[in-house]
Amino acid sequence: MKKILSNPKTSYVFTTEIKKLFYALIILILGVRICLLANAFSFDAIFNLPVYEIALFTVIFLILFRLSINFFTSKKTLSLYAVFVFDVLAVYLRFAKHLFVGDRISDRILFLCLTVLTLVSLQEILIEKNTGAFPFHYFLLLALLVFVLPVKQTPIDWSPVKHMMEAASEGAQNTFYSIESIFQTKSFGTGYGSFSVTGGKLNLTTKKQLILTTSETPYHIFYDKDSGKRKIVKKTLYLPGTHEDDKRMLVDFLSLLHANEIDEDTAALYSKISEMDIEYIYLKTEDEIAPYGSVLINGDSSVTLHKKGYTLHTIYLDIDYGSPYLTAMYQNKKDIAPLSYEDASDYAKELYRIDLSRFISESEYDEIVNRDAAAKDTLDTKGTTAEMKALAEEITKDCSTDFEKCVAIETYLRQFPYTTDAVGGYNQDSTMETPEGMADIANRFLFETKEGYCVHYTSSMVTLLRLCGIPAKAVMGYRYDFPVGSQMEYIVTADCAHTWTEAYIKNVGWVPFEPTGVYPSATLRSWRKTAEGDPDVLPAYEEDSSEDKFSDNFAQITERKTKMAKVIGILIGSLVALVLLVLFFTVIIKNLCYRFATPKTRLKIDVELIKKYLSRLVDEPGNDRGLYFDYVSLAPEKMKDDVKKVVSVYYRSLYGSTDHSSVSEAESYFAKNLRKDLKKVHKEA
Amino acid sequence: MKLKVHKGRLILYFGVLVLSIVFASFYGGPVSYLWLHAMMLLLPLSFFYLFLNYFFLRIYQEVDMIKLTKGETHTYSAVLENVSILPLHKMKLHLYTDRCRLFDMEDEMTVSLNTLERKELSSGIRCMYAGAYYVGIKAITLSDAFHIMDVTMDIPWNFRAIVRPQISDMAASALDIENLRNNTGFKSENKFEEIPGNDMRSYIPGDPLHSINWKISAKFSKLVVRLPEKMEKKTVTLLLFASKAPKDTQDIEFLKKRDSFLEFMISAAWYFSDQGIPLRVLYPSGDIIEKNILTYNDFTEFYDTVTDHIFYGSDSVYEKMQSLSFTQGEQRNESDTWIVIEEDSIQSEDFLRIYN
Repeated sequence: MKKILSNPKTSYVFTTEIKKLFYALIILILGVRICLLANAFSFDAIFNLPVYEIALFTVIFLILFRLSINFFTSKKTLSLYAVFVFDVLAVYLRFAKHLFVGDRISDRILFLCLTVLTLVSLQEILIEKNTGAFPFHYFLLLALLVFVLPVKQTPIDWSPVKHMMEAASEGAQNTFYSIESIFQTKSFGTGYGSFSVTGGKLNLTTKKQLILTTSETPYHIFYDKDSGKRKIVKKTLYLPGTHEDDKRMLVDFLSLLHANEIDEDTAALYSKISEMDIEYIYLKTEDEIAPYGSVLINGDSSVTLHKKGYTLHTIYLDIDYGSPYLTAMYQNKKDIAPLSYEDASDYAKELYRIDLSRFISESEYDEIVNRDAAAKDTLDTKGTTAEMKALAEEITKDCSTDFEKCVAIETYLRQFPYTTDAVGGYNQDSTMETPEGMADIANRFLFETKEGYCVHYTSSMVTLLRLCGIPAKAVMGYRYDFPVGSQMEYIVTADCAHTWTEAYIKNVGWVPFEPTGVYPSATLRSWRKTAEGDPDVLPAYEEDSSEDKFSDNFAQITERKTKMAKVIGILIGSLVALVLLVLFFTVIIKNLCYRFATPKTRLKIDVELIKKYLSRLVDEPGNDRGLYFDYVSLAPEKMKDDVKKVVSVYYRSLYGSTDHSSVSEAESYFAKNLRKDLKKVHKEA
Repeated sequence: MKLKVHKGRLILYFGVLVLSIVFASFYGGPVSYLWLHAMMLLLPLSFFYLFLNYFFLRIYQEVDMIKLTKGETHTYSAVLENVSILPLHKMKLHLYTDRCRLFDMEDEMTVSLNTLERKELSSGIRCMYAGAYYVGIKAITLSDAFHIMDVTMDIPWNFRAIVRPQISDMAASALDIENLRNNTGFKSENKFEEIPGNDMRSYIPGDPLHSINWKISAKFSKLVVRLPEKMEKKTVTLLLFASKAPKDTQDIEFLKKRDSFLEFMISAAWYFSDQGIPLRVLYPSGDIIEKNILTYNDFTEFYDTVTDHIFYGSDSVYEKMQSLSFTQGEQRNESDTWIVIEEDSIQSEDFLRIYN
């Protein structure tokens, strides 16, 4: 049986009137803003009005609104659903008409009313199913808190959190880098390594490996004759770990250009001298990783194993191997005699304004010229099969030059799909270290699996080229796609690790090829520079082509994962920070409450804590009958009297007459000290 | 305090919160920030609001009798009062349904209290067990506006009922008085039994008819009566070996055990009192208490007080009681009959030991 003893109605009336006021304010503010939008009057006209006139107008409107509500028949339903219409209208005006973007108090009031009323309606419709609403007082409290919080005009700035997360991430990576050598695993992850790769399943990692610093733009600008516009193409940099033939490449390249009587302007269409600084991050290797064609590498030669923090400065000959001018020269079958050192020096100065002696001494030059460029092992075809031989002949049957054969094999291999979930050769121990290993990996790739990653493509191309009689070798390093925008530094991650093919073409020298179909070939990443009046012989450049073609590029996948991880990390970090903040403030508030409390309240808090500490001193505190004196026996012998005294004072304060119930500062202080002493005892126990 | 989180709704809430953060990460101004702030404060403020609701809630419970009797119906009432301006919405009341039956109230019934509102709930109550325990409203549950969490909290002041056991004949079957009668000549110093003696005197009006010796009267032709002789009565000692109170004294199994213990104990006491057999009761009430039940008044006094007075003040008292139950009973005076009732074994057949 339920009986209402007292039920003041004023609260209900108050909250319903506040709700009506919220609606009135929404209509008023939206109405004024729509009138302004329709140029019915201007802001100046409003601001020029005296304050009392604005106030008077507002009051009259509110009264009229209040009176007009009585004429509505379904007031409850209307008040529930009308707010959603206003929500839509306000959002439309915000995004379609760019209203409510300033820092006006009226805008804040409008969205505050909308937010609160929307929550009220959602609560009543979805949760209560129109069977009574949650007290409006709660939403009113929410409105007050939301109103006092600052509102920024700019979106949330996540950079401090991002920096914090990056710092934490770097700390974790530093720790891992320091101890990773202790925990060696058998799984193979992306990253710079040796040729001892088997071609098995690959784990993608995004560990930072190198920092590249250069003053040059990360893209080439070219004139697109089809659209008549200037366009840009992103630069791609190949960074091998070995550079034994880089100087020879310069010597051969100078000889090639000289034989073709190339002048400075023409050479600039497809080659230039560039500089770059490189810093090692989470990398440990004896190799010096530098751009392809490095003629000068200034590092610390005294250090054998290069680790995090190792830096080097490099000067390299940057060549556009996809340039039609250059590929035309590759077709020339005429023998080219090497230049003398003096001629080469003069010609280098003419083309690139460099002093050749800075990079190659005369004796070194002579040694390079007289050395056999293609070592015997670059033609080693051990482990190949007749089927492979037949395939190589089939692919190159229409080719007349070595370069054409190289391109044909490269094109053939690029058609195979890319996957990191691949298998190695038939022999599980086959690696790229030996010709037999490469042949085994290539054999399975070409005739069975027909899918793989750079290891499979490169092994196949090297093997097929050798079967065609062209010296070829695999190169291990990094392949880095620069972003479109210039940056202070560029980070090369572990998933940029790559292996590709170099083929030796007579009279030209070592030329790199990209058989991995997922990456653009030399033609696709060409600088596309043409001399004045020359036609554009390369296929039309599509800015997004790389995006479409290489959608399954694991670099993109890892980039997405990194972004997602960052967002999740930021959210988790924020939640943890929120919890810590709440705990922190709870402690602060507790301390403040104690500090500013009366001696009687302080005594009460202390007695409760004393009871808690005493209970923890024994394993089984026994039955709590609610008597504090029961706990005296649990106290250490020397403290029993003190505990008894404090409990007596507490009971006196609770049940004593008015004259005796007060607690002095001294008594409170005594209880506080006892509590601290017991805490110490408790900690020691 | 128990917190029950509705996972689906919590995930939905966090989903909306994340979307609000994403929205505010792209657009500034009141359109995004006010909604975001509202979303961020929604749950913490709910906690705060529910805490205030609980803090300003007053629940007063009472029953029409000071001491209740097991199985009898009494009148129970609870006054719920909200002393703040923040209303309580659909507060669920959890009742002690395992130990008492409230006829006009249902477990988990909902009550809303507006600003400064006071409501009274009344119902008939019937307690199922003898003993001292909480009855009526046990706890309340409050939910936030969007029912993401339910917070269940014990009410600050429970109503502790003292329920006396019913006097039944359950002890009569277990205690056979003929086996307890003492025939050794040792008698109680406190209570005497009147038996007809050998001394005679003339009948005085008021003498009971059964004291008239009809043979002598016939011989002397006047009524002669036999004077009574006082004979000491036998004594019985009842040792109530109660179990130690568990950590949770409101545990229903403990209450059931105590109920059986109390009922047997009171029935036994009544059994002897009713027959005028002097009874000495030893029971723990802080320390070991000895109570002599010689008269009806002694019994009613014992009946009224024993229900909520059985407890051990310390472990040593328990050990002493344990020792008494095993040793003193055997070293008793031969005139005395010891009956040990053990609460721990009350639900088995070994709960009763008689030393005659």
